[in-house]
Amino acid sequence: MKPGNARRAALAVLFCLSLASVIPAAAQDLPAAPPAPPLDLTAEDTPNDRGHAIALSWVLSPDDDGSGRVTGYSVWRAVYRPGVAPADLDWTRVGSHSAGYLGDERLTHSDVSDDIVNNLPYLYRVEADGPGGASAVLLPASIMARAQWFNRARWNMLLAVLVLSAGIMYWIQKAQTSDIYLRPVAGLKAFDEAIGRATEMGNPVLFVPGIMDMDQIETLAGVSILGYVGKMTARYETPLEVPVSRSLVMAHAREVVKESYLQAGRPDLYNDDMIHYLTDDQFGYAAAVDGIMLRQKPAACFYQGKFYAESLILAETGNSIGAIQIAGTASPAQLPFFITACDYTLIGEEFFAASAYLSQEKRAIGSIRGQDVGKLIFMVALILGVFLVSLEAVGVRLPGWLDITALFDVSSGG
Amino acid sequence: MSETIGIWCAAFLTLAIFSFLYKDNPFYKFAEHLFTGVSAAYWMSVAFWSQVHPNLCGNIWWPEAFVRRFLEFTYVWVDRVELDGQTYAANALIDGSLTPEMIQRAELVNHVHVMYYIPLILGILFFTRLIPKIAYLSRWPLAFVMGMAAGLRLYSFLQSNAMEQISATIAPLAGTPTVAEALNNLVVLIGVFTGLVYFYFSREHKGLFGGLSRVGVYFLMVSFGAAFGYTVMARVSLLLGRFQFLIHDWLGTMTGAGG
Repeated sequence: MKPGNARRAALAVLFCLSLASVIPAAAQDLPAAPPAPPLDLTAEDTPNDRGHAIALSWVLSPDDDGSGRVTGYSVWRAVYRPGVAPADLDWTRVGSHSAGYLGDERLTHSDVSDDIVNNLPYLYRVEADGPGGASAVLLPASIMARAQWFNRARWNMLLAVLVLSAGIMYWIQKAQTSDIYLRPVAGLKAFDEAIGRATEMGNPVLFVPGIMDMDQIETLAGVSILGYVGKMTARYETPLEVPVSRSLVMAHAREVVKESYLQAGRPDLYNDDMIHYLTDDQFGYAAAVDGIMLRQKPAACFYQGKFYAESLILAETGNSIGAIQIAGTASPAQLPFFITACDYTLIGEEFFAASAYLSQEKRAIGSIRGQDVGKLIFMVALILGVFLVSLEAVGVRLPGWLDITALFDVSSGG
Repeated sequence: MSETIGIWCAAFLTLAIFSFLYKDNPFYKFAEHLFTGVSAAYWMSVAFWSQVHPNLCGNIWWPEAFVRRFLEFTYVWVDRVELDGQTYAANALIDGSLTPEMIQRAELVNHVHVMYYIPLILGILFFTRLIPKIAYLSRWPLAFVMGMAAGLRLYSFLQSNAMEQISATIAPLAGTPTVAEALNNLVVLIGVFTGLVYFYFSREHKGLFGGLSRVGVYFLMVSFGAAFGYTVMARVSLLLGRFQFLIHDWLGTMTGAGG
């Protein structure tokens, strides 16, 4: 390059640099304008729910390009009134979003609130906010939230419930006329042994039906097992002690044990005080049961129900007094403690099946067989599913109806 | 001063409970009975104010005079306030939007749901246990609770313990990005499958079936061992919390270092 040309080029660069430093300063001096509003605001009732929810979406403001002209979006809701101008409606801010979703075609917002009354028309507006003010897009027509009776996305759950229920009902019927084999469960065999030991020692039997209420399946299963234990203690004339932590469990357990004593032909031995309430508090209950164990020295302790952190406290205390202990729960976090500290533990399904095993009632045994058939279906589906997805993973194209993962997908739907 | 007394009481009760580690003694008995009694009353109060009061009392009809009488304690009975043609939300009664004079003039509208009379009636039926002649009526709400629980839990158990479990286990054993991932999927598959075999009750566990069942037991025991270690650590942290209280808060009040 010639020296004259080089000088000219240097001057041009200097000019450009000076211009670049001046232009932003000039721009800053101008009053900032509101950003362009978002576009194409749409709304729809959220499907498959109980109502009280509207799903919104809109196209980002053209000024939402990272320049800082848009700092965020505000979502506003108002009850629609025919003949009233939107500006005169009573607007409530119901949500906000940050700017800068570059690359996203549309921004979505789910307005879920009990303040949204079902079947009442609402209007929405979305504002693009920025240092220069806000500009809004209005929903072109009002929208209503509606409740649906059925969640159509969960058709597979309905199918599963129907198939399992049909299987269980079939085997309940079948059990009336044919014998069904049940494999032995060690913990259940020990029930009679434990109660017999308490009888020989002349000490009471302690039964703890967990710390949860009657709305838990584990509690229902525990109280059901209590019925069997009650029958045995009535037969052997052994004192029974059932401290509970819920008033409903107390009421139900009293009914069950009373019935058991009646069936055993010893209603005279039953009294309501056998089943008594302590406290709803988890550790208050654990402390009180520990006290009962230390003072009454039960020879057999049954822990059958839903347990939490008190499981180890109870089982360790029972162990320290030398009682034979049988636990049963479906709480995975507590099973290790029971397995460690108790003589026998009914794990999960064993615990649920216990009442059928103990009562040897045909209907209950039939239901166990029905559940087993359900498990068999799941096992077959598991192997088949893994085989099919493995084929897909290595590049084999399968027809859509062979998509077995969709059959078990319960993630969609509200 | 009151805080110091509180810390001393808490420290005494903590040590009284700890004394159980030695053997049953009067201090433990005292702490146990105090804990049981106080917590029973506490939870009864919590159950009323967190469940019965908002869920039931707030949804049935009350005479306006009664609502006004107890307005200084609660406004849960009021759904909305009508005044001079304007409607206010119920919390306007306490957030200063309305003056006492305006509240006097306002109409307090109940939020009445007919459906809530069903649990009210069922709840009352529970108390029939106290009247021997009609005590059998108390079984109805029990039957309702049990039936509701069984139906409700069937769905949630089936979803979380069966459908989601199976869905998560169906993963490819070939064509995965890494061999380790395929091995991982295989271990999960064997664990779930053999676990199901173990809990299959209506067939004798002999031969191949028995072998699979035994593998299932091994998987269960490994998972229980891992859960044991994990939970024990959480319990140790609870114990450390109590020691921290004793050393820092309680002994600190004596040495002037903590509190």
